[in-house]
Amino acid sequence: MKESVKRNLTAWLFLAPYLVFFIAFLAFPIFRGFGLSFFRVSLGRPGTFVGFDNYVRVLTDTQFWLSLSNTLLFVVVSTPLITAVGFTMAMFVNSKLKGTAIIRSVYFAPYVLSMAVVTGLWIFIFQPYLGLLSVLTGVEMFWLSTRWLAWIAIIITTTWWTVGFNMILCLAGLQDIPEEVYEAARIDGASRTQLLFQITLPMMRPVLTMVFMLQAIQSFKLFGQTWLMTGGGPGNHTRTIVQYIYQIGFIERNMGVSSTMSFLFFLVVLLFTFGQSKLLSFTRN
Amino acid sequence: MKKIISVVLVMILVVSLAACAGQDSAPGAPAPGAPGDSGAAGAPAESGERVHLTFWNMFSGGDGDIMTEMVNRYNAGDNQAYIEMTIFPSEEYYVRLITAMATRTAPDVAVSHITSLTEFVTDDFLSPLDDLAAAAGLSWNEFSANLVEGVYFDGSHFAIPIDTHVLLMHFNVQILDDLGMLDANGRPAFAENGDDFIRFFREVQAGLDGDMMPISGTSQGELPLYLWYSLFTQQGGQMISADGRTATLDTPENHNALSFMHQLINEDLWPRAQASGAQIFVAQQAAATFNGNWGIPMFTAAEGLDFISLPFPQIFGQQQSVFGDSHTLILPRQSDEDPAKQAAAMDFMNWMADNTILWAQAGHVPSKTAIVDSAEFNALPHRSAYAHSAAYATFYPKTTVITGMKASFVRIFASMINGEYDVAQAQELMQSELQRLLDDAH
Repeated sequence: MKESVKRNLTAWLFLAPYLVFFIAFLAFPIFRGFGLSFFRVSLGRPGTFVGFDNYVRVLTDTQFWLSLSNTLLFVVVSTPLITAVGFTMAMFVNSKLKGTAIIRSVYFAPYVLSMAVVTGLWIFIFQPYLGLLSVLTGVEMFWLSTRWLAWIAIIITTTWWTVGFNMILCLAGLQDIPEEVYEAARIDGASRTQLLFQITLPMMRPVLTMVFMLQAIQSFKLFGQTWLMTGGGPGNHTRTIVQYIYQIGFIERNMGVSSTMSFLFFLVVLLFTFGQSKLLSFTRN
Repeated sequence: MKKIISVVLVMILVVSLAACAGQDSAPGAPAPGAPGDSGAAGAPAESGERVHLTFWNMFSGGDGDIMTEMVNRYNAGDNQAYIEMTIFPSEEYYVRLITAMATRTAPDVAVSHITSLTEFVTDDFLSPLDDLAAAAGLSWNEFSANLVEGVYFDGSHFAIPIDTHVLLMHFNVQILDDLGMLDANGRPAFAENGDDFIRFFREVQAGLDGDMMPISGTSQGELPLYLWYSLFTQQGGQMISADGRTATLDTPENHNALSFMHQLINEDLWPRAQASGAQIFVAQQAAATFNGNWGIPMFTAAEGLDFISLPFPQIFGQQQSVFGDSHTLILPRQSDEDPAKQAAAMDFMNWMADNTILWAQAGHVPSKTAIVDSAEFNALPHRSAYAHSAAYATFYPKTTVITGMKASFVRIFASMINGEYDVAQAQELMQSELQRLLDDAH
């Protein structure tokens, strides 16, 4: 009895530094934000209780749905894309060709750059009149201010920036697959396609699931690339839900509505993650 | 050798730490230096005697240089306060200021546009200035009447204006002269109405090389908004109904203003997708430019650029108007209000208002009428040609939704200019966005 208390205490003491910060900077703000969603509150003043008014206001706001669908569009397109590209790059780097060590570093390098640097670089490439792309191709396209081109530009930028991290995770997974399994399969006369689909992919499933999940959560948080490259434009076509929450909260100073949107967005991400893990565990059985 | 370098580095560290300690010594303690030993601005010897105040603003470029110069002069003089200034990029300035004010960690003095004051006063972020101003001998009727009106809320004054700034039009004299488009007085030869304005720039366009623009003007950011608001208010347009609850942008006035802008864009008189209209004008690639009086320092500094700055033309004749705004000095509320600091802050604000002849170097029109009428101000180039337009400048209405309105409209205009929206779509969005903001605010 006494021994277990002592053991628990040791555990709690080890957890304490993390817990203090977790409660102060995550748990408390989350609950406070949830509470704020029932108030009409500006940044400076104490609010008045309004019940579910904010929820009605948000759910009937077409801009909220547009921003949410922009974010979902990005998640649905970018998550499989970046996971697949990362996996392909890992396969390539894992092959025993010469020079893969250098290529591995080259692929990973963009990930260490900051968002501002990355977007600055790609703005330089995509900008009209003087942009690299305009100059090289001689075709004048307003990449960042044309509806679908803006999304393509943002997805290219994000892929280039973050794919290196996924590649490293996939590479670790690939190197965990024992060589003997391949050897045995080859002796049995398996083709390369069979090796990929019968051995590599099934054995990579846990790693790929994790990469997919991490990438989906990362994609939900999209803000910096659109904020810096398009400002949410043209029109509101690339304004993500995070940007809309920021605009309502800090530019229009409407903290109640902003908190409501954050909470609803949290529910969407929760549902998505839950559904995703259900789906993945279903396919496994 | 390595040893010597590390010894030197350690010495530098020690000395700089000692210097910091010196500056942190309690205010009011006798200064180590002898009184009257007024050296360079910021000398630690002086700082002990004076009340240290933090001062935030968002001035960049020419504005920033001149504001820095003014603060240095104030600090060098025999004054109550010692100002420590921080300049933030204008895009992030208000978000920083508002969050600082909400958490009561704001600077002692800050700059705010007159059109943002309603939001701050409504949220109780600002200290009223009347008692402090009376004690400092500041008289409100020395300021232009529309400015005093703008800082006055429910019986109190909440800011000290230092200028009025207005949208102007600047013309390249050399290019227009070569085209024979100047009148006998050396001014561009067009009558002040929409048709003749278009006629004039079509002729300029016909005479120019292919790459050159009749009119330059930044397509993103707030410049299109200034242009629109000038055109809109010249027809007597009002954004919001008298009770402040209903957006009134579904009107013919708005349609006319947007259509005029659309025509300039469509005919390539004001070409789209310009990242910086001022740079194009400075590079002498445009015959004219839409820019405010704040563009003047940059144009003056440009080598070989012969330009004139004139009031923004009256395109619609119903009501003389142009977009204007005003920089004001405010006293954000503090967690514990220190009368000594407030008095020192008033001393600084009062000094600034009295010395706006320096600020006028940035092209701005001073806030005090006596300074606007002074020979010194009128001797500055271009000023006498446009200073009078400050008197009929129209500010945004006094409402709490201005910051939100600007953020929304900037995006709508950028999209209209690059062809994403036509006039009807832009107008519909402006109306619905403004109505949403008003509904949220009430």
